[in-house]
Amino acid sequence: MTAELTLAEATHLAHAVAARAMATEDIRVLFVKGPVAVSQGLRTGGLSSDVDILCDPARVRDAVDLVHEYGWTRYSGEQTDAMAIGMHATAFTIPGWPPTIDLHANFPGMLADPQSAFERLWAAHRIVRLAHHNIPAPAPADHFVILALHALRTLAPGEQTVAMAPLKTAWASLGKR
Amino acid sequence: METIGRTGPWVIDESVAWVHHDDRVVLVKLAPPFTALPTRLDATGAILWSAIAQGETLDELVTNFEGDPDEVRRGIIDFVTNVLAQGLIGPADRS
Repeated sequence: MTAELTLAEATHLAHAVAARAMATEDIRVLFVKGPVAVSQGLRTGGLSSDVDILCDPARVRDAVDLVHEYGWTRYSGEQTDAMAIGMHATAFTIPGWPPTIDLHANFPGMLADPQSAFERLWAAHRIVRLAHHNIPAPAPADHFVILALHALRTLAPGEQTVAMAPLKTAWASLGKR
Repeated sequence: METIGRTGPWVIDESVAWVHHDDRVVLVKLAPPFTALPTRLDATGAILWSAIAQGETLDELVTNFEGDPDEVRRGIIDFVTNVLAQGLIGPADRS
């Protein structure tokens, strides 16, 4: 029977779907934030509604073409975080699936050129297991930096304490308290 | 007569992604174009799936349930036959 998915189930499975889809064309990708960060102890287990993928900048066009070929649809819903998506990422949905899949070419705040930054992250990448599949992810220390950049980017007046709390948790998990 | 494919143990096919939360399993087969919707296994199906993933044989699976052993066995064989036919599991000894 077709399942009514909980968001947690769907998000975990969608990581595996996206990882396998990109692997079919040998497109290097790293999965960041969300359940990957939880798996690495960098976040506590809050609900995540999307799959964040940092793609090899040299293959972003191939990745976009691939997901179009598969029939995934460009996401333009009202819940799209324009600041998060902006010019550096493209959001897709798999028809019938609740999570959005955000394909990032880079992350704002990385000062190295995107290809160099990706190569550095890829060289140290790790595998986490989600939905009983291998999911490539940045090394925990690198992942912390990505989480920090994301948190700092979205800071607004009065939100500093809220934004810093998860980072403190992540920092503590790295044993660098 | 039961064939080897029906007596186990089996392995979850490497193309299947699955999660087990509470008393249900939700799974999806990973194959192009990657647009398949997940399948849900509730209660008995979820128990069987998890036990299969742990490498239990048919005889071991039967011990997970109460009731007439022959009837339980037939039900399990039906389940296994179904998921084998869908390519969701395969014999553990295949290479």
